[in-house]
Parts: sequence; C-alpha cells; structure tokens
Amino acid sequence: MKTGADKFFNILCWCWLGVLIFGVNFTLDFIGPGMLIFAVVFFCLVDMVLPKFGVLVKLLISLLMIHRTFYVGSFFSQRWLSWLFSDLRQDWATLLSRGWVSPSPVTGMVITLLVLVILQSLYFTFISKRRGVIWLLFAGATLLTGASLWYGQGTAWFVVLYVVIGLLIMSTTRLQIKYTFPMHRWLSILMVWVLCLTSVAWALPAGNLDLVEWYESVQETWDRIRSRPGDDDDDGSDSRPATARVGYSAYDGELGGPLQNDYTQVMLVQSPEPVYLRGESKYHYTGRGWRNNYNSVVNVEDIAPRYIQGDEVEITINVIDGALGRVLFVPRYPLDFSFSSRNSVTVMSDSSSNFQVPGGYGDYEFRANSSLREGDSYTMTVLLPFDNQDELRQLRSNRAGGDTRYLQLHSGTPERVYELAQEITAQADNDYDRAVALVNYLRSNFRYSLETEPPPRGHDFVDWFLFEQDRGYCVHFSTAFVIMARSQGLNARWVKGFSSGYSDGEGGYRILNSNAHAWPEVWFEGYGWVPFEPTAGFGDRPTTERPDRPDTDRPEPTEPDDNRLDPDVDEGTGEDVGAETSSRNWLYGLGGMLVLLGTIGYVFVGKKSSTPSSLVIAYAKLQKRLRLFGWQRYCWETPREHMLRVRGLIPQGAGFSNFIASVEHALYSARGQDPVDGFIGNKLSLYRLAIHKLKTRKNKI
Amino acid sequence: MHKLQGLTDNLNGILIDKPNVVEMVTVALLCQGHLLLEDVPGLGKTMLVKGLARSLGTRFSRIQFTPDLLPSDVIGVTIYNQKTMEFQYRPGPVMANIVLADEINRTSPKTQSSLLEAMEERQLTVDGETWQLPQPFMVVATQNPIEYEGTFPLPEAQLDRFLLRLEIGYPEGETEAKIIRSQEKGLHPLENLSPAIEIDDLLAAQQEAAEVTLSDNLLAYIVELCHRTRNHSALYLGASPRGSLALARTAKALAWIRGRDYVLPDDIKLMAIPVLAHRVILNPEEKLQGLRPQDVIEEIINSVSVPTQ
Repeated sequence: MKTGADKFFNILCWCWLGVLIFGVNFTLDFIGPGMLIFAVVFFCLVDMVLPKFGVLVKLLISLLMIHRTFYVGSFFSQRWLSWLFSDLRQDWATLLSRGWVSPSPVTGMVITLLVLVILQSLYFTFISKRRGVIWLLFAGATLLTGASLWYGQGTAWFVVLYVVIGLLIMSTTRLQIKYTFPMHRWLSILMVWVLCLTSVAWALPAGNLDLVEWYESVQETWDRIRSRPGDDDDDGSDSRPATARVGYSAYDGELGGPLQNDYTQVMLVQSPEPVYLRGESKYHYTGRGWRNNYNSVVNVEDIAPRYIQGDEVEITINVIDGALGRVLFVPRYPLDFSFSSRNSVTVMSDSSSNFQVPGGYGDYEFRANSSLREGDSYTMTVLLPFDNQDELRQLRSNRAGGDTRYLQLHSGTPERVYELAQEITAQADNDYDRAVALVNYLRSNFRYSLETEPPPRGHDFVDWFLFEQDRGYCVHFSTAFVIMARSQGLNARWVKGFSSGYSDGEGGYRILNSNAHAWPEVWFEGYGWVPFEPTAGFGDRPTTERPDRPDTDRPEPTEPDDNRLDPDVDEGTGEDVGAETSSRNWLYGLGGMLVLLGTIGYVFVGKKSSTPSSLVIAYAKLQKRLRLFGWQRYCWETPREHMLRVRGLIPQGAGFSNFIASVEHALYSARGQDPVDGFIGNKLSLYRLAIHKLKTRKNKI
Repeated sequence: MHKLQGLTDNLNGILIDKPNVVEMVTVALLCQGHLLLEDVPGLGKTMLVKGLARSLGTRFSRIQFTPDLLPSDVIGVTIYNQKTMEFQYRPGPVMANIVLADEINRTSPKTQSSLLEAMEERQLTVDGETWQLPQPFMVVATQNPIEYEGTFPLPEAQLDRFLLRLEIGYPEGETEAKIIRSQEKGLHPLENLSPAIEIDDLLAAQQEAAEVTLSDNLLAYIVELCHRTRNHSALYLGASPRGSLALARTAKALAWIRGRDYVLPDDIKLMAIPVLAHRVILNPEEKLQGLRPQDVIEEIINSVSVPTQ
C-alpha cells in the first residue's frame, strides 16, 4: 500500500483523467456515463489496492463489463469472446468500407476501456515522476476544447474543470526550479490560451467554423449516425444542417424527423413473389417512439405456425451491404434456415411469450450468430400464409393469458386520438373490419412525404401526425394505426423491416436502404398475427398476404438511418430500457461514489495498527515539508542537531526549538508525549510554515 | 541543577574552560567507571584528579609508574610483625578512593595487570587474603601519547576496562592567559577547594543515574552503532558487548547530568567517541595512512540513522 499522500494523489489524478474521459465521451458517446463512472472508480480502487497487477485486473474487469453488457451466456465459456472478436472485425470492416461511422456500442466500450487503461498508465508515469504534468495539461485541454467545438453545448465546463484540477495537481507536485522557462510564464501562457479556446467555444454556436465545407460534410456523416433525443429537443428547430437518411435502424425512440433518401442497395432477394421482410417488432409506445427488448433464446422450429395455411416456398437473401450486422430479415413465416457460410440462427424473444400458442404470439426476432458480410446469403423455407379475409372476419382480436402488452397506450396521448379511432371504426362490427377501416382512413386522409417536422417537446407523436401535420411516412402511418387500433381493443404491434424492393424481372428483388419500412400487425385469436398496410402510396390492399407490386418510381423512405445496433438492446439482461437506463446510470454512479468514499475512509481513518503520537506524526510531516526546501533532517542527525542546524533558516525558529523539545520527549522518554505540551502552538507554526512556503515559492521564481 | 553541581563547579574552577572534560569526568564518576586520560604532559591531569578527590572529601593516592615498579608497590604487601608475631597487610597506594595511575604505559605488564585486576574486581587478594577496595573507587590512568619508546602500551583487551578515554587538549584562546593569572601569585586553586558532596549523596546520584529511561528505539540505536564497528572496513576489531553496555550507561549518566530523565540520541552521540574509540582496533593499513579510531567512530555516528519513530 502506498502512503496516505500517495493515495490522495492517486485519487486526484484519477479525477483529472476522469474529467478528460468524460468530456471526450460526452461528444463521442462511446459508453454510457454510468458505466464510465463505474469503470473509472473501479480502476482507481484497483490502482490503490493492487499497484503491481493493476493492469491485468483492469483488463479483466473491462472484459467482465463488456460481457455483462452485451453478451449472453457464461463469462467463462469461449463463445462470447468469438462473438466479441467478430463484432470488432465487423466494425472494422464497416469503418474501412464506409468511412467514419459511429462504431457499435461494443467497439465503443472496448475502445473506451482500453484507452482508459493506457491513458492511466501514461498519466501516472508522468505524474509520479513529477514531470510533464504541464504537457498533459496542454494536451488534455486541447483535446477537450476540440471536442467542445465539435459538440458545442455543455462541454466547455469540462475544459474548465480539467484545467483547474490540472493546476491543483501541479501545485502539489514538486516544481522543478530549473526550467528553461520560468514556471509562471508557462502557466500564464496556458491560462490565456485555454481561456481563448473556451471563449471561442462558448461564443460560436456549434457548426460555425471557418472551414464550412469540410465541417458540413463531416457533420452530414455524423448525423447519419446519430439521432440523439437531446438534439431534437432544444427548441424544435433542427440545429443540424443536414437531415437523417432513410434506412433500417434499430433505434426507434424518437420518430418523426425529416428524412433524406438513400439508394444504397442492402440485399438481393430471390423469391417467387415479392415479400415484406421483417426485422423486428415492438410493442411499447413511449409517446415519441417505440422500444422494447428481447432476452431469451428459443429454437427456430417453435416459431413456425402449425395450422396456418399457405404456400411453402424457398427464399434466398443475398447480403450486399454488411452494415446490417447480425439481423436476419425474414418473411412471414420462416421454417428453417441454411447459410452460405458457417453460421447459425438464434431466435431472440421476450421470455413471457408463450410459444406453445401456435403462430408465435409474442415478439421475436432472428439473429445470426456471426455478423453477415457482403457476399453472404441465407436460404429459408418460408410459409406464405393465405390470410383469408372471410376467415379473419370470424375471429376476434383477443389475447389469452391476461397479456395486455399489445393494448398498451401512452398516458400522454390526448383523448382526441381515441375519439377519432372510435369514430372511424364505429361502423364495423368485427375486429377485422375495424382494422380495415383504420387503414382506409389513414391512406385517404394523409399525404405521403419525407419532409416532416418532428413533434415538439412534450407533444405526442401520433397526435402530432393526426391533427397537426397532414403528411408523414411509414412510421407515422403505422404508429397511428397501432395506437388507434389498440384504443379500440385490438391487440396490435409495430413491425419494421424492409418492403419488397424493386424487381429485376427474374425473380430477384433489389432491396435498397430506401425500402426500409414499418407496418402494423394485428393479432387474431386462433390464427396469429396479420399485417396491414396503412401507409399511403403502398398499394391499395390493406393486408400484405400477397404484397403489392412495388412502386418503382416512387421513393419509399421511412426511418432514420442508424447502422448501429440499438444501444439500448441489452442482449442478455432482458430489462425494459426506457427510464431504467438513466436510473441505472445513477445507481452505478452512486454506488461507485459510496464504495470510493468507504475505501478512503477505511484507508485514512480506520487502518491504524500502531498509533504514533500526534507529535511524531507532525514531526514527520514537517520533515516532508522541509524537504521541499532541502532543509530536512539527515538520517544520522538527531532532531536536536537538525534543529540547531536549520534554526536560522526556517521561519519561527524559536517555536521550532520548543517543538523539537516536545518531539524529543514524545520520541525518547517512553512515556509518550505530554498532552499539554504546546501542541496547539506547534500546529499553528506548521500552518504558518505552509503559508511561508507558498510565499517563498513565488519569490524564488 | 543536580546533586553534583557543586562538584562540577569545583572542577570547572580547576580545569578552566574545559566543561566537556569535566562533564565526562562526572559521567565516569556516576557510572563508577575508570578513566583513561591520554594527553601530553602539563595539561592539568593530576590537578584535575586531585581536585576531584578533594571535592569528594575522599582519599587520594597517586601511583607514578616506572619501569621498575613492582606489583606489591601497587597493591600492598604483607609483612611479618615481630611484636605481634603475625603477618600484617600493609596496604598499597591503590587502597584509596581516587587513584591516579600516572603513565601506566611505562610499567611492566605484570604491574599493569595487578592494577587492572584491582580495577576489575574491586578487591585485592594478597597472600591468600581478600581485601575490599573502598567505595567509591575510581582509577584515573594516564598515558603519554608522544613518548612511546621503552613503554608497554596497554593492550586493547585491557583498555576495555576503562570506561572512558579522554583527551584534555591544550587550552584555547584566552584560557591560557587565565590559567597564568590564576596561578601567578603562587596560589593554586586547589588550595581553596572544599568538599562539595557527601558520599551518600554520590551513591544516591549514581542510583538515580542508573534509573534514567532509555527507550527501546535508542537501545536499538546503540546496538546498531556497536554492530557497525564490528563490520566496518577500517576496523580490525569492533566494540564488544561491554562497549555497548558502557555506552548505554554513560548515555544515561549524561542525560541525568543534563537534567533529563530520559536519554536523547544526542547523549549517545556525544558519548560514542569517548566510550568506543579505545575499544576498537584499526586495520594496520588505515593506521599507516594516519587514520585514527576517533575518526572512524565519528564517521559511524554520522552514518547510522537516528530513530524517529
């Protein structure tokens, strides 16, 4: 264990590094803040307790954190490691092929933790040698200021905090008197420079640099990746110059912003008929978008409905763009899979779903176990259901087993939405016709457009679409359908994937990013999930049992492009994301703080085997203080000899003599110190010595 | 002020401006140890010892060692008394409280050993009969460091029996003038001395000095010092446990004289050279280069770390 001063210094340096990492992470957002706090605190503790094997332990903890966050299964099996490596390779391939895109959360976390470990060693090598602190200060301040320029709001504070802590650290280290520059000159330069940068960052709104062109192109790329809730909320206006692009994304938390088209081909489908390809479904509406989660794994055979009638066909999907990762897009319903390259299928579903009910009552999604790359393909035997309308009219959209997930409504949705739904479906007498009525209403009364406004803060998404805007794209139509259907007692859910794409005339369908699509499905008891197509311009049949011929000259954009897997999907934790993420972050932070405080308390206060008298401690501290000036006691000098030697040099020399007399008594009389031995006076003289030290430092320099 | 203050003042009056030497003499008295004064003639050694005896109010005897001195000249002899028809013991000069053994290196080893034995045992055996030496008993021996021809230097094994080895040294500055002033009219300061302390008080003081606290860390320090002398490259022979014991006792006495009831490392450092310098043997090479044992001991006390815990 290091001494108490070293431990305190350790903690201070970790705070400093923590500020840097936080500031950078604030802009890059590689890792959740709660996780980051946890990592920083833990690494700091490891450093204090295990200086020797610190790096190994930190790497182990990093692996543990990565596994806990992203992967299922046991930590000790090798499987997740291979998944990790394939994910990393996947990201690297994406980086190479498409330029700078935001890495997947896995890569982000790996990079952050690695950088943390490396930077920590670097910082400590510098700081423990008491050199180069000022270089760290410069470098870190530059980095943070650059990041604040990039991001704009709220990060200027990180720079200030970083500089303040850096100066604090510098004041505690022994300053080298022999600089080629005088120290105060360095410090003034640094202060002026940092102030300039900070004021620049403050004054200029984000996005207004001199090199506009370069910046805009970078910003464009950046925006393709991110659709963070914070950006949309500021004042309703779009603070970014470019809009998001169309494409399949995993993130649906904030819907409704304007979109740009993207005609990059992602897949080639070989099928006898055009089919909609399903990526995943969601059921929880937040008022702004959709979110939910999967956790457990089931066998693929259990998904296939046992009595739905339809055609069995073979469909092959060739992957053109590897950016979609491990998501498998399947028509309704796949029976089995085979892959071109070594791979296998995992079906993720929520654990509460009852797969004994034929047709797959619950939500599920298919994932390949290794990422799919360009050139890979998979072939499925698919059952294309007939979905006979008359049959469906006989059925009711009930749910069994008390599951109300698919009737969930958001409390913030205004009543007029439900009143409208009531009005629309008043004439129908069965659930199927009600659904059809909703579809017809939506298709006829709203215009298809990509140029929409996101709903302002606090405004419900569906209400905004139905009553304030007169146009929208597939997410608007599909979400509105689901909410209105649910209000009328229909069990409905929201599905997203790709529409059927552009036929090349020979049984192949080209799927572009612009074909990313969302549509609703309604549950019919005793049958299964039946999809509907409420989006204007997508053919005129309500159901998609036989998907319509795609409109080859009309662009079909849908959702913002987010090539990252949903960062909120914790594959393996099964918790509902939403509000729980932020509370989890707080919990991590609080827990980390408590642990840290507890350790500090134990180390400084509780761990006293032998208690040397306070005079002896004060004497030792005084020696350390004197050492800064070179006036310390040599080891072979007795305290009295030392005192006689330096009495003339130090301030309060007379007080020092008295102090030494008390110290001698405490040390050598075997009776311990005299309680009333002018100890208070000695403390004061130590304090005055400290002040004197600061003054002379200024004079010396 | 301590009990021996009167004594110290007396001695300071005799040996002008040498408070260190006086302090050392007092230490030796308190520890009931014997003193070895190594110095050139004429510095006041005899005067000092005489003054000591007078201040104590005890008997003083002086033995001038010559090459032809016999042991019986030192310890006494039994003779046949014709009147009483018995053998009678006639005590020698050693039967006194303060004995000045002048130029002890001038006499034959046999005579030397008879004195040294008496010092060690504090009793005499003459013709089968044992006689106790009086209390307090202190021998102050002198050696002349410049005239070594025809001498029998005390072997180191015997030197060990002396508690302290002192050098008075020439008077400094204006002291010599003061000395002349004080004696120019023929009156010797010794004449004015009166006893300053009772024997019982002296014994009590000796007891008190022995009870001064020596803390454990300082004990370890003393042991470490002696260990260093045994491992030092310039020393052929280091200090024995007798040396560390002597160092401890004298440090206590010095602390008592200075008015403390606990020993300080400064006391130990001060006593180190007088106590240890004559107990170690230099390597011949070092000796040839002019190194003295005092220098080695000084180097040692300036290299061993003082405990501060």
